[in-house]
Amino acid sequence: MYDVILFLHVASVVGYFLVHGAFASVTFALNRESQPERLQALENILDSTGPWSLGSVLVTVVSGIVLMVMGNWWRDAWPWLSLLILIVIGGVMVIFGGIFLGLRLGTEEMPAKGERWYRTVQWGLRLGSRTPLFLTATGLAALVLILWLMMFKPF
Amino acid sequence: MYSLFVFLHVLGVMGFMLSHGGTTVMTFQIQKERDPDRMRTLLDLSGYSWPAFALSFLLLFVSGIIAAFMGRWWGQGWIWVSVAILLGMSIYMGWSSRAHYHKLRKALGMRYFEGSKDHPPIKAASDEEILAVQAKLKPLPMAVLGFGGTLVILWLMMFKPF
Repeated sequence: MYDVILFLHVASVVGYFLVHGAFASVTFALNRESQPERLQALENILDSTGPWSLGSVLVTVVSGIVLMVMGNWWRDAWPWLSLLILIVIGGVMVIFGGIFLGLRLGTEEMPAKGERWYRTVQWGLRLGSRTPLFLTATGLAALVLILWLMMFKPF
Repeated sequence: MYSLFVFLHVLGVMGFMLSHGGTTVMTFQIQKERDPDRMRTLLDLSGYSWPAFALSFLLLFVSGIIAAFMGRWWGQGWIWVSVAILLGMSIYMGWSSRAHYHKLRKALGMRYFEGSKDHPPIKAASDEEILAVQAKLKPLPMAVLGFGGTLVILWLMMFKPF
């Protein structure tokens, strides 16, 4: 049974990367596009992949937690560290990716100076057109770390 | 050292999936579009990820071959079946892309492949002709084969059944 859940875990990660690749491609493409029609075509991609992305990450996390319990891995530090990295990178992607997509697609308004969100959006704006590169680099670093923790279970 | 190559192999697979995602989603999304300019945007999106796609495929293939030599797996059946499935999928996907998506690129007045030659853009076809080429696109069999084949390879790699 452990092996079946492990297979499901890895398969959902593969599925997640396939769907998330569309998101990554769109963020890079947004730097090249300015015409409303072409931006709309890219926005449609984000809308159609959102539920699949959420579904696959949910299966990954749930199957991972089940594996932690079944394999008695929860006593070790590496699965908790992996989960922490996943949560942190998820937060970075949602915040900076969200700001970039919202402002590029014109679906998000600039917050007023006094609002709590203002400072975060300013950080996002400073990244500007380098945001896709920043997100890809941090995402890949997180992937390498999590994969290393999963495969070598160092502590 | 063997573990390092397996690590690189898995990393290559993840990178390959990530870089192939834009193309996969494009094949479904383009069926819903009626505006030629939006179709061009989606086909461009697929083209942008080509360098990452080629690089990650090279990483997964080379590290996989090296790991198979280091692990002395060549005497077992599962590795040959995996390689055969991977090559079969790659050939079918390459053929299908040329047969359908490059025809659409040609009709849309974009750079396209015909046979084994790269052609510069020609004058775009009429909207009716574009929609006729678009109607022939069948992304589902390609997606089922691609993801199904990947799952079979994953099963072979993880359980090494024969």
